Amino acid sequence: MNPAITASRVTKRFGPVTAVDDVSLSVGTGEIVALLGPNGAGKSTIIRMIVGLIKPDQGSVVRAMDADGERPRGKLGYLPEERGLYQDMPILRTLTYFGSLHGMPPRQATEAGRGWLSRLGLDSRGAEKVKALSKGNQQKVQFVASVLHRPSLAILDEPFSGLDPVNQELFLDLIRELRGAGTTVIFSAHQMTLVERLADRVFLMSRGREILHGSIPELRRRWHAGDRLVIGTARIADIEFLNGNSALEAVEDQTENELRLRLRPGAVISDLLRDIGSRMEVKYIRSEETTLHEIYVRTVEGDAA
Amino acid sequence: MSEWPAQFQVAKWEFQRFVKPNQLAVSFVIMLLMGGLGYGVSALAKRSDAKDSTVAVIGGASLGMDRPHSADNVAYAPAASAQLDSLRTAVAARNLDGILILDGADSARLIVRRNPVWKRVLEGHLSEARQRLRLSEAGLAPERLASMLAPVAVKTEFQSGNDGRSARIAAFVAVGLVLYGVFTSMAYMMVSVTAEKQLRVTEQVISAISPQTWIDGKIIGIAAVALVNVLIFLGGAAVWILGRSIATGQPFSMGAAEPSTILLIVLFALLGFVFWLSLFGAVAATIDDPNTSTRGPLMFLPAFFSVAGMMVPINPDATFARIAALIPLTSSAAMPARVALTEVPLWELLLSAGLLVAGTLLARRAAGKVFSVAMLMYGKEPSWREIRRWVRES
Repeated sequence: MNPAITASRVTKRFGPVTAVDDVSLSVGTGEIVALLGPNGAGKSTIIRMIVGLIKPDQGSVVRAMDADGERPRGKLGYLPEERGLYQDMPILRTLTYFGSLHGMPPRQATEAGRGWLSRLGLDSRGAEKVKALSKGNQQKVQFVASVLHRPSLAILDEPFSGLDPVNQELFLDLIRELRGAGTTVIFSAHQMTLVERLADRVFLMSRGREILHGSIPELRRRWHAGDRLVIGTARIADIEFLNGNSALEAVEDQTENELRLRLRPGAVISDLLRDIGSRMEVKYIRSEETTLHEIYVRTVEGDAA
Repeated sequence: MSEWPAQFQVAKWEFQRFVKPNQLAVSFVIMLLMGGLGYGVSALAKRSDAKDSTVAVIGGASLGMDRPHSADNVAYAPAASAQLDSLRTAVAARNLDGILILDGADSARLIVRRNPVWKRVLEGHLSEARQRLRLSEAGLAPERLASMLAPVAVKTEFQSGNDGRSARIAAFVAVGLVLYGVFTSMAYMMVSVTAEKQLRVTEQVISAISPQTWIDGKIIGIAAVALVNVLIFLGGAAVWILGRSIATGQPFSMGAAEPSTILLIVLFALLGFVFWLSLFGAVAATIDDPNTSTRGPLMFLPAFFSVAGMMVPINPDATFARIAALIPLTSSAAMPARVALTEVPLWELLLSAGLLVAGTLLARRAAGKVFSVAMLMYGKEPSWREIRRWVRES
């Protein structure tokens, strides 16, 4: 896969603070890559360097779409973390303006804007001023303003923040559609369940540095994260018998009616199930994968420690 | 890729942001009302000026002022010294404007409530009367005396065929419109840029176009907004002059200036718009919050400009006027006034235009550089040292 973005050993300092510290990142054409990390990890700074708003102090950022080092108009779509629109201007005219700044003929931008507003359930509100919209709807309009021109690279800084679950689902679909149309997507987010469903790869940062990256199955493997077994019973008796079972890594949690066991990666659990079945009155068994949320929390906490 | 389509889109957007038809109509009506108010006040002031001030003269015989007469809105009424007390009462009661007591031809006393505006006129009349008395005492024949005192008749002939009144009107109108346009456009630029920073739209715009393209488009769009405001001003003036012309039966005229003069005025005005808009675009970009900004003193920068604009028509050939017409900070107001009022040597005109063009290009470039960095700064204003460095880099 040809890289759409290659950031090599990038460092950026703001006074005494090193916001990004020797980070390298490559994003393939057509990929969806999530930038993760706690607040202040350096995600927005690296995003701004990729967009070209700020220059790295060290290292380089190469965008495949650039011609002679200059970003060609209409190839990049950017939803910044700092949200804002012209509050006193009509919604459709705002979309037309941003589309035309990205090189679309105004009429085509207006038509595309109408289509997007219809898709977002705002088709009757195109003539209203932006300030008449709720915060969530303004965010939808700003999202549209950043991708109306069908960019080859979309950089979305926290696209899900402030959205209700229904609109989060809508945005998931829209971003997948963008990728379906050939757009490479880089986004940052704190909603791990959404990231898990959307991203091909994640890039986890903490304190300006990369601490983990790869696809989610890769991360699970690298993290040695085994699956979980959740067992429901009428009443949990003595569980001493579980000690020493080679498939079991740990008893994670135990309530009166439920037992949560963490398994070793790749473990065969036939013996474990037989032992449990013979000593407990099992009502249900369910297996759970290690979530990205868990990997994130454990990795970031481990880095902080 | 040409930047012009994006600059045009930005210019169009800025124009649409600030020029709204219903607000234009309101501005026009306000302009007419303000014109009406100004006309009314002016008419009232003239009427007040027309009233004579009455001065009682005691001992007027010593200067030949022993008969009632009036000149230059001052009426002289002879009185006896025995009337002094009653005259003082009249002055105190505002029934009389003053009492002039002549002690011979060389000294006089004036009794008034407070220093009158007509005092200089009265002093002039007394000097004339004394001159007349002394010449008469020299034994001159009355005809000769009249001939000596009569003003020399000067008949003025203008090569251009008119008395230059229209040129003076053109100069004042030009300076007024340039000042009005520049100050209006600077206000729009400040509002436009600081609002964009506060609305946090800058990153999304700069991800689409370069900061230089953005500020170029803003300058064009806001200069167009200023022109619309100037046209509204002119339109209001035209309606007033037309209305007065219909009311008085005089032919409609807005004054006339030579086409070359108008062309130069327009050229300097437009360059001035671009020059000042570039400077203020850059200044505005460095402001994080207009309510707490430390950039306040920069708002006084246009004071040079307005002082030059107002002073040059008083004496367009003074050294101050000639220098002001060359310096880019002031030339867009000063040179139009000089062009309208006096003969400006071609070299001065070319030097002024050249310096203004160079200054404008420099200001545009520096503004683009400052704009590109400062527009993305939130939460703090750049230091003067940082701004100096950016300007040098440009």
